[in-house]
Amino acid sequence: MKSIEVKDISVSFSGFKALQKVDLKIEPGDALMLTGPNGAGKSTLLHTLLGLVLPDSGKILLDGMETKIDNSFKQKVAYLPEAVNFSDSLSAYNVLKFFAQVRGTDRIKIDETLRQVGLEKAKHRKVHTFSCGMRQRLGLGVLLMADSPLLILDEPTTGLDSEGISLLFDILQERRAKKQLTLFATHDFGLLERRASKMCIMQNGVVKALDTPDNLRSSVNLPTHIRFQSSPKAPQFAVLMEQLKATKIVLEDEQLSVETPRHNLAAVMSVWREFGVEAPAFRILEPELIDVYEALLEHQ
Amino acid sequence: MIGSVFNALLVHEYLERVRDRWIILISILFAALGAGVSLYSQNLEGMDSVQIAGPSLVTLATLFVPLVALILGHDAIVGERERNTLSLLLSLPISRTGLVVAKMLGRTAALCTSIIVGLGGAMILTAADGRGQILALMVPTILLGIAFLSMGVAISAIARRVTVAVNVAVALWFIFVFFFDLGLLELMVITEGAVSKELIHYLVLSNPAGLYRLEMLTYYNADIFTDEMGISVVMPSQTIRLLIWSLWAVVPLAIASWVMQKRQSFR
Repeated sequence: MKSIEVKDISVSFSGFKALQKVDLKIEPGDALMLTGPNGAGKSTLLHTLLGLVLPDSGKILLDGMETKIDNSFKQKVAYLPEAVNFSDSLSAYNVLKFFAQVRGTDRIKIDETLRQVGLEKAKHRKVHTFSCGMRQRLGLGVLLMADSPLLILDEPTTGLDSEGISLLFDILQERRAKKQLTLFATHDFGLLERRASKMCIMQNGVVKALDTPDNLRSSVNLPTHIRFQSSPKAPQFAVLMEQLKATKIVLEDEQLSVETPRHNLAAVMSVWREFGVEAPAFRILEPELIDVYEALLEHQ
Repeated sequence: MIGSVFNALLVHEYLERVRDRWIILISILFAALGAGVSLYSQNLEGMDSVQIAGPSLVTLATLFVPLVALILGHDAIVGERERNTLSLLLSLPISRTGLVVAKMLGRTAALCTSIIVGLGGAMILTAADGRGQILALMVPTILLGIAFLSMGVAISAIARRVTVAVNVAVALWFIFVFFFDLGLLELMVITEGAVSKELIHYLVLSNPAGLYRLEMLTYYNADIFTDEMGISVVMPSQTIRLLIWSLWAVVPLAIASWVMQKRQSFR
């Protein structure tokens, strides 16, 4: 599987339009993050790709060819639902054994997978005794064993501790390196910062924005925050920043911080260079993605 | 691989159900009561023990088997939904109908185990010459179980909560096992015989519990029971009976499959 594309997909439930002409393409090595407020249509879109929801119109293209979500398609997909759960009576080992059997995976991998997800000591414990985070780890184990060309995750960080999140990061990174396709819906912007290659913002069943995080930052042109080190030249520098129409200038005890539109950054750097060796060191803080997200939703 | 999903689900369903403590408990109770009936009938002097044990086992099975089957079936789909495992199962390479059928077959196998244990217990304790007649109960009892299991699976596909499914299953058990015949008798009394006995007879046969009871009581030549009910027992041909059993097995399952095809929400 090289690419999967959703074209003009619309879904409605009893007259409620859950998705409206959604277009989306996932390409090799993409880890595409779906985000948006509650009820935006994220899960509906994931469920459409899994064949759990039937679209009113539109099509799904697999490697450029229109495809049906049938059993042959589902063989290429692995899915982790939000707050995943398994049959109460099964142990962690038996859950993986079941999915190994279903996916035709070698059972030899089970112990190795349990070790990878940190559940080797709980391998014979029944799943109903697991915490939410442990079940989520086991879900990640199922995905590791499946190693499917397309991975679909719904709120994958739910219940995960730092080790679990680190494991999830490793999975996403490895998939990107192997040029596999990943689609996940989440509100966890920290996850996006580190591992998503693209971000799709949805609202009311419509795609509001779809691009790389960097391009989305540029598109909203939020002010960039520059924090200078403490310097006796700071007041002088602050005056020059005012002349450059920086949006916010804060000077406290010779420490200057400035907010300026992204497009103004080159001019700020030019002024800074004129100070030569006396210029204070600085750090550029890009706008947080949560701010980009909010700005995009407001802007639309 | 598609076959392997179906088989894996079927085996999983079977193993999970035979380990279910309620199913084990009811099976043991069924076996114990069956064995008790057999032992009691053997100790009655001057009477054919099978003639006593057979109809008693039929009554026992009519009470227990539909209950076990409905318990087995009621959470097949809705249980997965409530545990948030249904969407994960349906993301596997298996169709919705395939999922329903795999669940039905896995649970049918568990039900057969329960019935074999129950009647097997009674057979072991019955004198050797009477075992054949107890064995004759096996297949019709399994058919009775499948009919109610299929109803249970249909309930599980339609209900949105396990608690609702349980209530509906218990209500169906009361209706088919207790109130159906009583309702028909009531109908005969209220209409003062205006409703023909023939119609009543067919209505009795349309109820799987009624069909089973009449089929087995006829087999044991225990007409006294049906005569008391005022029903003239003319059993339809074996083909018709098999058709009725098949309809009870297939129609609720088809409804379950249809409901699943239409369903768009799995949480």
